[in-house]
Order: sequence, then C-alpha cells, then structure tokens
Amino acid sequence: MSDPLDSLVVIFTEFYYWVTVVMMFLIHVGFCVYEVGASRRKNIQHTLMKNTMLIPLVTVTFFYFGWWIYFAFPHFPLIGGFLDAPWALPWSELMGTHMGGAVSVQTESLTTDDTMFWARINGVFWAAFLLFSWTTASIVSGAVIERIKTQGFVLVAVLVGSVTWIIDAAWGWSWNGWMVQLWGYHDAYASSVVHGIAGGSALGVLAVLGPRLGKFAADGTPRAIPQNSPWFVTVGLFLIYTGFWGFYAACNIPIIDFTSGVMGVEGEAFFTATNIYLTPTSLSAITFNFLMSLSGGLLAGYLISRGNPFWSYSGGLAGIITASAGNDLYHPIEAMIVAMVGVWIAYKMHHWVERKFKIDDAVGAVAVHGYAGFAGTVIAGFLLWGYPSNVAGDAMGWFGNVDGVAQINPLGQFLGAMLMFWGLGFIPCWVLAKILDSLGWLRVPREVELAGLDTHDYGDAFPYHAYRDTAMEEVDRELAKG
Amino acid sequence: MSTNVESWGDLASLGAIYPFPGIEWALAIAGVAIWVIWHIWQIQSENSEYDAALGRYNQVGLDKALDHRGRHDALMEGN
Repeated sequence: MSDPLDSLVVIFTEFYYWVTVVMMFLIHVGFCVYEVGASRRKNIQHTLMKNTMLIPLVTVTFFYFGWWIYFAFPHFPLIGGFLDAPWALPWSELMGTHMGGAVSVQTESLTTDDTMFWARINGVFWAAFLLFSWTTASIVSGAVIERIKTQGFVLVAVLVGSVTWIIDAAWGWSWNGWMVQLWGYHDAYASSVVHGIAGGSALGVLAVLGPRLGKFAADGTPRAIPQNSPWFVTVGLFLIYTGFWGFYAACNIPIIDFTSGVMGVEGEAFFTATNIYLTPTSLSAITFNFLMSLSGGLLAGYLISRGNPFWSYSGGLAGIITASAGNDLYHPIEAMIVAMVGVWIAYKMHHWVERKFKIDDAVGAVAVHGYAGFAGTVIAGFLLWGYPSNVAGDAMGWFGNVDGVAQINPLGQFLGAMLMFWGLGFIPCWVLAKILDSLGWLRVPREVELAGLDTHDYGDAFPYHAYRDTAMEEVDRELAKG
Repeated sequence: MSTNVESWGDLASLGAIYPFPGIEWALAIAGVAIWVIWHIWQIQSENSEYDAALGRYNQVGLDKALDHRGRHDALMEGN
C-alpha cells in the first residue's frame, strides 16, 4: 500500500475490527460463566466443556466453509446464483499471511486493489463474523444444558454457527443480500440475524430433546430448578453486556468514503461510519441507543419479574436485542421504549410456552433471543417504514421503493423474522436433532442425567464444599425408583 | 525449504509469505480430515464413558450413585 490516505483507512479498519473481536470474546466468557451458574452442581463441568468446545469446532468450520458462504450466497436463491468469492475459500492465499502482492490464481472478481484490501482485512473481518457465529451457537447451548450429549450439541453448533446463521447473514445482513434488495429487510444489529435464528434453533432442538427430568410435575406444573449460583449467572450476563458493546461496534464499517465504490453517491468525498448495509450511522448514535435500550430492558425486566435478578439481567439483554434491528436510526428514547416492549413479550412468551408446550428452556434463551429478536425485527418495520434499506440496490423491492431501492417496511420485516426464526432456525435444527436422536447422539442416558453429567468423568466441581440438598434431590430420588 | 521470500526489500511485490505456498489445497483437505476425525473420536469416547457409568450404576444401584452426587471417584472406590 502506497497511498497514505488509503493505507490509513485500511490499517485503521484492520485495527478497529481486531479490537471488536477481543471485546466480543467476553460474550463467550459470559455465556460460559452464566451457564455454569445456571447448572446444578452435578452438571457444571459438562456444561462448561460443551460450550467451550464449540469455539474450536465453529472456528475451523467457519474457516473451511462458513466465510465463503457469506460472500457466495447473497443472491441465492432469488436474484441469481452463487457469487465468486476467491478471497474466502479455504485454499485461498488470502486466507493466510499475505502482503497484498500478486496471488497465484487471479480471477476476474479479484482486482489488484481487492488483493491489497483483503490481504489486510480478511483475518479480522473473518474473526468478527466468527465471533457472531460463536454467539449464535452459544445461545443454543444455554437452553439445552443438563441433558444433551456433547457430541450432539457440537454438531448442532457447527450447523448453526457455520451454516445457517451465515446464510441468513448473506441474505439479510449484507448490502447486496436478496432479502435487503427485494424485501427491504433491515436488521442493523442483528435482532433476528443472530438472535432470532438462535432462538428458533434452540427451540427446534428443545422440541426433540425434551425437558430435564423432574422439570415438570406429574400434573404438568413446571418446577423451578435452583441455579447453582445466581451470582455467576448475573456476572455472566454482565460480561455478555460488555461483549455485546463490542458486537455493536463490529456491526459497523468504521470509515468509508460515502461517495465511492458500490454506493455510487455523487459529490465530494464524505467519510462516515456505516452499518453493514452501507447506510450511514455513527458509533456515537449506537452508543446512545445501546445504553438506552439496555436501560429500558433492565427497567422492564425488574418490574415484570418483581426484582428477580435472573429476569432483570435477562431483561437488559432482551431489551438490547429487541431494539437492535433499528438501533442505527432510533432516537434513544424510542430505543428504550422498544426495549421495554420486547422484554414484556419475551417474559410472557417464555412462561406461556413453558406451560403450554412443556418446553424446558433452562436459561430462557428462546425468549431472550428468539422472541425478543423476532418482536424487535417486526417493530422496526413499523418505526422505520419508508427509509431506504440500502444505497446500492440493483433490484426493485416487492413492498415499496424509495430513492430507487427497496424501502424498509413491516411486511418485509415480518417475513424476514419468520424466515430466520422458523425457516433457518427451527426447521434445520429440529431435523438435525431428530437425526441425532435416532442415532442415540442427542440425550444422555436417564441414569446418567439423574446421577449428574459430571459423574462419569469429571467428579465434583467443588470437592471441598459440603453438599446441600434442595427439593430437586428428592425429585431425583423419586424418579430413580421408577 | 520453500518460503517464497528471499528478501524483505520489496514488500509491494510480495504475496503469500507463509512457508510452502502452493500446498493450500492439501492443507485444506488435512484440516477437514482432522475435523471429521475429531468428531468420530469424541462420539466414541463420550459414549464409552456413558456405557461405563451405566455399568457401574447397574452394579451398585442408582440410589448409591445419587448418594455420591457426582463424586465418581468415591463411587468407583466403593465408599
């Protein structure tokens, strides 16, 4: 790189994403701490290792095929076929240490400038998306604790983290994705792109996996299974909040000349941050809205649960998730109110689904991520109705156009939320869970579940601490008899 | 050894600088193989652990296993 301004932009962008990746690591730390806190003592280490091992498995598969899917799939299946993305193939020279000079296999889609750009950006951009992959898979992890086999869970994690979520990102979280171009879909900070699909995926697995033994009394009344450490649960959620802030920054493109490249906007150079759709926003705007939606979620979660720590903290997270679809554009007080509405929906839906369908979502993941994400996506369709969904469209939208591109609209948002929660979330995971179940790879044996998943291999997580019975131990004894 | 780099004097002309450029296909195949083999090993390992645990519970009784509350070491020692 020889041009000073271009070099500065590229190297600043490289550093920016690197920082966001490190911050986002805290999301996974938070999920692990949170799940350990939510597990009973007899299951702690199994819970921890199950979630930990998705890190390497999703990472390597995202290297092998997940990254390529993002760039190859935006037009598939409704606008066109697969796009050429030579920098994202696992055998590409640009998927390694590269100085930006010539590549051995030159293609029409890879110019000299592209080579210079991807040589610097590929690793950090890949990692930013990868951390989203970990998050999406890890959301499923919490819902299924205390009875799923590690072997089954990690295969679900690969499906969600390296295949289905990145397909939805290509379709609905990319400036040239067909959902954006045709439906006017807008989900700037991933209400459905990450959280909706993860909630739907978790629900698909839960529907096959079944509840933990003893979760429901004989008359169908759900029992509250005590957490091993409410303190760990809340610290974990605090860490997730922190990482989520990095996630917000990672969803932006930090600096871009708005008059250049694919955007084709005429006029003098104008440098700004944009969201993933290349429409303008700023770190300042999303910081307002991140904190106001967090606050709205906490306020609503505290009120609706009467100060329950688990639901108050989860409310903070659900609040951000609900407002995320439009947090690039909302006024901060709008973001706060949207967050409060989403928390109310998530809380009510969780308990209704639990009682009605006997779904044992151990950490409320389907509610906090799935229902809140779904609701937030639809709400954004009404509040942002009429905004241009992108700046570089080459197709006419089905549900209205503005400035020559599809407009954001309620129907496009609703269809998008449905496609992500059910089409790419619930259905693929339900099918995979059925296959895993038929192979005996999904659920641990009944006796092992009662004795504890740590029993077979790990031993007691707190060997120097005395055990204290809860009502659930009596339930386990009764179940062990027959 | 094949490094593809003989000098740092002309960075603009350099492309890939990892060792053995040109074997990316082989590396990708090896990586996928390691991934698949890991799953096979892990499935066999985890299931054999469950089988062993079940065998022990059947031997001593599930009640006793519950008494030990995850202390598999104590259960195996017959405490």
